[in-house]
Amino acid sequence: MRSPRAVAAFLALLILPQAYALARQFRLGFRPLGRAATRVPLSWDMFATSIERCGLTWSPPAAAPSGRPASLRDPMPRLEWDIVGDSAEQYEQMGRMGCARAAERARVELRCARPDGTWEERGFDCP
Amino acid sequence: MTALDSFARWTRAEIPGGGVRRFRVAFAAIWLTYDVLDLCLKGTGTSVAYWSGAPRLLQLEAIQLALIAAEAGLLVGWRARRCAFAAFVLRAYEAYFFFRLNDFYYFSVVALILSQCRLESDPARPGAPAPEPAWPRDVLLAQAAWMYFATALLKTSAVWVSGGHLFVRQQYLQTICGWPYPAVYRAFVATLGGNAFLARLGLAGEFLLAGLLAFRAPKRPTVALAVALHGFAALALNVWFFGASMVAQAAFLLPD
Repeated sequence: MRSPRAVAAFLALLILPQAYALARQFRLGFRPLGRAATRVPLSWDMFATSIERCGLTWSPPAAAPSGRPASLRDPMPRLEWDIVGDSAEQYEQMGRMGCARAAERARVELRCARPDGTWEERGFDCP
Repeated sequence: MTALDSFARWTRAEIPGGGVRRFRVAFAAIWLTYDVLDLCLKGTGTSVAYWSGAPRLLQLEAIQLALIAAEAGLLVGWRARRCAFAAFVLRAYEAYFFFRLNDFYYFSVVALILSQCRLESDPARPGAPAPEPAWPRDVLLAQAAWMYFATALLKTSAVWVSGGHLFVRQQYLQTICGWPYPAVYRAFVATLGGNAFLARLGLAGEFLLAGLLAFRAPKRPTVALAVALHGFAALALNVWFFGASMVAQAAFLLPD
């Protein structure tokens, strides 16, 4: 049995970081019907941030720790797990990391779903 | 009676241990399955190896093996409190140093609260759970209510209400991952309008669920709403384990 003081201390340990995390979202610019939340641990921002998701392919396939995937999605299981970025720029960075491992010069293609309801396509040759 | 007296009485109150035991078993089983699959399929590992290289992957696998051991102990009830606390420490380490995933933060917080329960068998009735202190069960329910409230509040942004966030996730799953949405649903979520409808429905559902949990509404509608919300997240958004855990929290911890 915990003493009331120990329970109070435990609750403080639990509540304060979560209250701080939510307050931090407002300090970082989140507003209802306005700017989206950003990623802040313990603020419970799941699905609340503004994101882009892209399909990323290398042709020919690039080397990666898991083999030679033709796309970023290739090495991942179908359910639950995925390698994702939050913005097209992050996917570009992942594409360049694949370039650095490529044995031959590859072309990187990105197809990104955007939160304004559009798709954007971009591509570049590995340096 | 003062507020302090009420608080002290609350910390001393006890409840039958059946609900907490059922939740302990469900929570451990869900996340044990997650971690075994994650380790075998290298779900988190592939991301970590991609960004940070193979040496970090070995560290991650050691953490995952230790987590599996802690979750197995929690599942069978072997030194369950210590296993819950070990699981909290290990998952928090994984979240902070390897992958800052909300699911991992959730797991850490719940495992920490579970470690405050008794999680023992009743010495007078072998096989039956010992009575539990009421306060950790109440805190687990309040934590779930807070999470639904906080996440709903953060979803009141323009991008969520417009359907933009759901558009991105569902179009990515459909077009890039070949997710098998039915044709009617594919047409519905091809536009921002369809996604905005679902987004607002989800927002209302999360606020409502927070209220139902906070005010201890009848169990059946609360669990039904949790199943609907997380069933949608699993089937339409490919989020399986976190939702199952949240549903178990409502189903096993709310009083009948």
